[in-house]
Amino acid sequence: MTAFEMTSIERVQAAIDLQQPDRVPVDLHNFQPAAYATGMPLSEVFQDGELLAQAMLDAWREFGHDMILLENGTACNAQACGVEVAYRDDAAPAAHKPVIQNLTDVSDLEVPDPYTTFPMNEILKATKILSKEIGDQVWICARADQGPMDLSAQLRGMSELMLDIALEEQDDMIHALLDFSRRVATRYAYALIECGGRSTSIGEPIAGPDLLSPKHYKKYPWIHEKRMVDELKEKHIILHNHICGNTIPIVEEFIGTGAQVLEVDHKSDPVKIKAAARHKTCLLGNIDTGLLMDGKPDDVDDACKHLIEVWKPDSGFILGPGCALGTTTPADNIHALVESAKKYGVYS
Amino acid sequence: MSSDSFKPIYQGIIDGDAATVKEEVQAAVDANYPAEDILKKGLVPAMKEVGDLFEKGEYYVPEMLISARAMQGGLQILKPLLASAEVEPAGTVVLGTVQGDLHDIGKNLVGMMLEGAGFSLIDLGTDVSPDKFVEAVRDNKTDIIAMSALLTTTMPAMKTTIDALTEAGLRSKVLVMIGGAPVTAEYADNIGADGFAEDASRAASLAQTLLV
Repeated sequence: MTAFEMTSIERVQAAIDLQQPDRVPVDLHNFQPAAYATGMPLSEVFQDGELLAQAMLDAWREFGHDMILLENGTACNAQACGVEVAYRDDAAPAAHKPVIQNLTDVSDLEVPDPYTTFPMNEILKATKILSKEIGDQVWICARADQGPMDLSAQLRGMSELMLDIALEEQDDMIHALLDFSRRVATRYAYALIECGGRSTSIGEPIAGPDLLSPKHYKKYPWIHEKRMVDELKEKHIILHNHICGNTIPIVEEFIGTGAQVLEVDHKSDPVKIKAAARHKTCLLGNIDTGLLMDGKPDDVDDACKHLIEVWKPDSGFILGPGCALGTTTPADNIHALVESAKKYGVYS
Repeated sequence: MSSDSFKPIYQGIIDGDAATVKEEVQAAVDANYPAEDILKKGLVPAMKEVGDLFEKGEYYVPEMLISARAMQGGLQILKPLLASAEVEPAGTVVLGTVQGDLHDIGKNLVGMMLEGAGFSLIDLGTDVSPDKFVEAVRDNKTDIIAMSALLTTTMPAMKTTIDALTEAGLRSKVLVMIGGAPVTAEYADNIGADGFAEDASRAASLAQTLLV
């Protein structure tokens, strides 16, 4: 098979299945720069499924990546559960008022219906539009952000949840909160797949060793992440797991969640994580978003070349940023990332 | 008066045992130990150790939070005594997350570590405009401004704040330190900050170094 004979969908599927594609596929975690490129306030784009879909579609037409990561930020699930969220004109939305004062209040929460609850319903709309327009040409990962730990932190307050974990006095209630958050993400995930997503993803920035010890990761969020993966696997749904920061201290557990794709931040040593993940799961990432924002195209090309050397063997690799691209990431740098896969990522 | 006298306070903070710390601080006060000694020989070294454990990767955010909570329990007892004895803090820090940024966990941890190092704190909260930082410096005897940002999109507000201080004629009167996930030492140099701290523990050490 000559290079690039595969479609993007075949290429991504091969990578996720740990089979050899024609070349390394590329994803872009680009909801922010895509929205910025519209010239409209981000607050408008992120609250309107049609505007968001158009932004992501225009970005795909410019860059030609193989996988779209579709989302409106890291507060969607929180807002659907009643958390107050601030939409800003130049940044992603941010949750800022927890809704439960005590862990016992979890029993008062209801899992939102994603088809009728804002903003989940707008993201479903965006998923349907993109699926209809280009769903046969590009892999759409429609993200069910946030994951169990992240949503729990937004419902309870991050400091409050961290204190609950440290005190270890209300284990059952902490797990009840994590379980509720898992059910929110799972229900949303089903809807996103029904609307045309080929895979979905959870973001767990709070779960990683930059904040939480490996001991507490295993005791609390890991159980719920794995349960979500297992449940979705029974329905043949592919789940990505995204944990920010250096995940090497929890690499075995991270892989052990069973997620078919691990979204890896630039802080994780690529050699160590590849050694652990080889033949087990697909790695997505992990180019430094700071480099993509502030570096030159040659710097990006160089970083991608080095990463491809380490992650390309034995497949199980989707090249992309290690986390969400900054709003004003230069287009030239994004092009450099996408093109590098074609230059250095061909499988013979 | 040896530091061993304050070992139960020290250990209580390391263990995150707020009840013990409050009890032992009160006992030390009742035994007529000067509040300044209890602070500098009990609380401060304990929080330094907590910071060291965090830097070594043995303590994480939950562990720091309960240790800081225990320290704050003891500090609440000492504050009025320190004030009436006119004990000077190590310095005064105006602290805030920059404009447009609502994240507070990093800022809060820095605040706790600074208090644990004997600094007096003016916490402006999150989404703090440059004008609000300037006003805080104007209205208070301020040694350091500490700014936090979690997003690359909000980081530029750090430079805007430094420019606002310059415009107000206050830049030379305060030291500026910055931190947060996307922030780097290079960025701090580029925008004219006086220092950059990688994490909450190093923020306290940096503040002490800046004021030497």
